Amino acid sequence: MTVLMPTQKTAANASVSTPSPQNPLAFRCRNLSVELGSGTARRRIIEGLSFDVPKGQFVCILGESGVGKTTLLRVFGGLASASGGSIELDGAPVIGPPKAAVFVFQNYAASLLPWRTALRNVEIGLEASLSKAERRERALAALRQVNLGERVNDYPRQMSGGMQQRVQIARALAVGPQLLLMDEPFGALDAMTRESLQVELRRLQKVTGATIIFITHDVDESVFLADRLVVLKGKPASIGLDLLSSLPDERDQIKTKETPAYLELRHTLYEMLRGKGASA
Amino acid sequence: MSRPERKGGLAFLPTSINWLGLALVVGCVTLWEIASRTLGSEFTTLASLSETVSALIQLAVTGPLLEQLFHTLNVALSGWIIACVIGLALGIAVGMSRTVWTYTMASIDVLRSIPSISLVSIALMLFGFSPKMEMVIVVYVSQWPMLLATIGGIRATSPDLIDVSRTFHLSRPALLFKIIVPSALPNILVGMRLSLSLAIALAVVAEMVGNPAGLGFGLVFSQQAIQPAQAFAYLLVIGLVGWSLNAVFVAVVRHGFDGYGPIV
Repeated sequence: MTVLMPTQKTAANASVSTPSPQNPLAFRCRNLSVELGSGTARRRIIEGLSFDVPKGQFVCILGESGVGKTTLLRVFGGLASASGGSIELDGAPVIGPPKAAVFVFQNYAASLLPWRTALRNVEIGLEASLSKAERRERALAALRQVNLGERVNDYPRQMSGGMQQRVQIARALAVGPQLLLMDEPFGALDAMTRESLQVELRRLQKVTGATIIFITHDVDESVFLADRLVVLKGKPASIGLDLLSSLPDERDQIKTKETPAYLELRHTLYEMLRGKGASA
Repeated sequence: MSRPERKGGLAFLPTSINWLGLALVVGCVTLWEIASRTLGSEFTTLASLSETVSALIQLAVTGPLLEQLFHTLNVALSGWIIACVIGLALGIAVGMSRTVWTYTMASIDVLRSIPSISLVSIALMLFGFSPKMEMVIVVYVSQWPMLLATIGGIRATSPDLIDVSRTFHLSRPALLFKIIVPSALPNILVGMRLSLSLAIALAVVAEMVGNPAGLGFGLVFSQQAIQPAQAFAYLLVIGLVGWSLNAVFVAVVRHGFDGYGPIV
């Protein structure tokens, strides 16, 4: 089996305005392998995956459905364990869910607490560490950041899907994470809502300086969002392509998507996903 | 707000009267009165509505009805509360611990299948004709729905919510009280409602058979004294007790658990 070696700058005009490589590492994994199932049904999902992320980088991980993207993200976030290799966040090995990392789950309806208002949902991660007044203030600020300042006392069932997902993002931001792990967070939303949330997420990342690892199977979404694009490929999966985005930091849903750089990245990724780039 | 009309004060009361439902009640009561008058020669022990109402007033004013009503309410409600506490505590233990579940579930399945009425004889042998026997029966029987609903609710907690508690580093008690119990609450409330009906029913049964007090005793005493109007009066009161306790419970739940949407 031949798999493209993890390389950066594969695209012709890559790396214009991404975080400099001297940035301290936020996240590092070496020779990671993951197995799922037990007994004879035990399968190796991921093999020999090595991957460093500098602080403040927005990484999109792409791959076909079933390739192991969600599993990989759960391992990164300590919700599942690796069967081999090492993962470090800020130099400390990841054993359980690390303090500095927070998940944003795909299924917002199942991940918000339906018996709590938006505000109280955002407070859930702050209740062990902050006084009532402090956490209220932090939660309100986080909800304002995602433009939900007017809806803080609504219950999730009174909100649209896009609003619910914004509550989940506010809940994650409220704890001040260094690393956001996002598992296809916009996958279940309609195209319009998805695009506006993409713009919001880019803006929030610039404001907070958080490192983001974002899983998606949507090529356009990944090209629009990412500072860096990683394609998972193969069975068991490893990195098939790893390139820095050539797009400017400021992105616009219409203009950016008309630029040659955008179209070229999109082309490269589609070819990779269709199997021209590497054998599967 | 999806239900703005259900906010504040007495807003949990029905906003309009169901005239059709009421008409059926009036119709049935009228039929009863007619039947008791026309069939009176064949069923000498069938009391009419008017006889029942006058017996009811007499029992309430000069008779023991209010004392008996208070006794039954007291036993049913305190037994229900004890049963809810026991059912909730055991349900959490069984629902949360794989080990406890493995040890207990077979016994729970067997014990809860025994028809509750048949346990009255056993309790009678153990505790004699006493208030204790009545309370034991009420608590034992009415904790089952609570226990099973709690176990079911806790085991149905979605794995997504468990992931949420892990990514936000909730402690074990916080996981239990902020995630698992609230997510099981709709089930738990249904269990409480079923337990309440059983508590009333079993209090009356225990009074009829074992403990000479309360509405159940009044009913069986009237029957043995061949006082049909009094017996019907007791029946009416027992029915009203069951109906109104359930109505109060539903109103409190609708009013108090707004975030869940409709539960009961």
